[in-house]
Amino acid sequence: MEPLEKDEIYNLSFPSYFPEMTFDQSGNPVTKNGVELGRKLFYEGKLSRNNTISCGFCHIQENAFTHHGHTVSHGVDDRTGIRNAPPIQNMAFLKRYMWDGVIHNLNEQPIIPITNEDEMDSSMPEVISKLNADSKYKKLFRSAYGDENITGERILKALSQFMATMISADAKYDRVKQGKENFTSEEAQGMDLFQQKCASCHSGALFTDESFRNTGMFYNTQFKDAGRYRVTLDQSDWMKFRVPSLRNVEYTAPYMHDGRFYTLRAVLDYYSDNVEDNPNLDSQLTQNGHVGIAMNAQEKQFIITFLKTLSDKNFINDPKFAE
Amino acid sequence: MGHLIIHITKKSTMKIYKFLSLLYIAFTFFALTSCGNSDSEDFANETPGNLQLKFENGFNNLGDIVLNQTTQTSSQGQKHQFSALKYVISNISLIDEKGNEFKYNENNPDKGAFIVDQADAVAGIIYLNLKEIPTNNYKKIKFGLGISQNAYLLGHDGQAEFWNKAKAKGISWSWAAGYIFVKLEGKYGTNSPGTEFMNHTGNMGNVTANGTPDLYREITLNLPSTARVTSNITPSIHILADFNQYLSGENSLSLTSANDMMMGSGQHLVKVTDNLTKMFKVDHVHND
Repeated sequence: MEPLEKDEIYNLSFPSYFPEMTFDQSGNPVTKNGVELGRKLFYEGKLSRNNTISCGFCHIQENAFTHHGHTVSHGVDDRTGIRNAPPIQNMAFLKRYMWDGVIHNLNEQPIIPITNEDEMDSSMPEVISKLNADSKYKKLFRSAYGDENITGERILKALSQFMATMISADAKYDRVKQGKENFTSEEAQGMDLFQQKCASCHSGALFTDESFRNTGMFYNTQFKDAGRYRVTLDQSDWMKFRVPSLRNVEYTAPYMHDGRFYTLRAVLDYYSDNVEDNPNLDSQLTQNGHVGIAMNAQEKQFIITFLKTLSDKNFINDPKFAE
Repeated sequence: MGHLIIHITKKSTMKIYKFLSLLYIAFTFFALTSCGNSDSEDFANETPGNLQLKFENGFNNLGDIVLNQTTQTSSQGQKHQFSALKYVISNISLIDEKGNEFKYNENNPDKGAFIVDQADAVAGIIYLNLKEIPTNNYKKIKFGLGISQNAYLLGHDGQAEFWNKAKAKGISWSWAAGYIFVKLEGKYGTNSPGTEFMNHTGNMGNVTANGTPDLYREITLNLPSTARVTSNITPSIHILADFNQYLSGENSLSLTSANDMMMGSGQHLVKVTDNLTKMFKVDHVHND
């Protein structure tokens, strides 16, 4: 898309049952040209040291902006990171970012992958100098910000404008909620089971309460990632990770912070049979003296059927978010 | 068909490299024409490239195997996990669109055999890098699980380099018995994995002379898309190994006190080998 001659406000629309928007539009107004610049930057390899790894490399639209098939993300020179790339969706409504919640403001998030040596291994000064050498970006920055001055702040704000537009709210679940469609009986039974067994953490319209929880997963010595503990160095945060949203979960295998499970069924089998008790284990997983979540095979099947109603085909096919 | 592999060390100068490349090209051309095989002539005067194989060991309905951690339940209901998981891959060959086969250091373990060791996995993947692969479009890959009798019978001197690697990796017995082909160790049990097991498969020396089973197996896999080797493109072939096949394959096996410490080519290990032969699948090919 060519930038507009005269920039316009980009209206973000979302359902009334979504949480309040956390994205600060007064500090970073979302405009059509700003979003277009953000989209170009999202797919720009020059954000990486060797010009090959864009944000879109690990955040693939068809997989709800995750790195399909990879347990953890890969970066420059095929180096591997330590975490499974999370989906990029509904970012404008979150209070915290990353599996450990280290980032509180969407504008600051891209600094981590850009500078991480296993991901893009670059720096803001390096990125700015590469973009300055590209006449296309002079034009795009002028159209979005009024002049050709390329700064780190403007790069980050354009990226977060683009990410703010990535709203996934058109799943079957949403159409049912809006009275436009009905669940099948299996989906409805799955939702009831989900409410009983999963919704205390995966709550609300985004299916996360954004808390950090220890779900009894083993510490993976391949990656040496103890989650929230990395941020707080508090032993009580050992192996606590942010509860992820479940929207589009059908598209985002493999699962968990290190991609240890290939399928949703494997995740549910884990919760029913293999949760390991430990001093930090979340109290939701020790209800009624039972470690884990009691579910039989049929209940798991219904829950998975319900989870698939959170799949938003229009989101993963929307040309507005494509390269 | 004749072929020649020229091993080039990092220290070689570009001049030598160019000279050897020309020699290689000349030889390949000679070999192709002398065999009266003109199928691959299109590629005969191109410089060779490289190829990467990625092995990802997992349980296909669970996830990648993390040693001492990932616990699976077998079809017989036994929980089990691995503390060691390694195997030997050798005699790799690539088959092109016309059915021509390029054999990579066939029966030459020093150059053509590799150890896939889960302890070396980087983000769940073990990488094998193959060099000097003729430019071509490949549709199938074939490889051996273990070391063939032909290679073993070359004797210790013919493969001292790989033998020492195998020793260092704990995937060999003494020379008279030979290589361990697949080494699986860990714990198993009904409610939780508590009992130790060791299943080491492999041939007992000269299998004909000793009258023992030959556990070397060759596996041929179709590539879901063509691997296009050129001097610029190093394709990578991503292979999944599904270890559900170990106990829950065509032979449904239970570990018991009678077989949980077995080494060699006894009946249980023949069944394990037959099961594991079916565990490989090419998931995808990258050409970049």
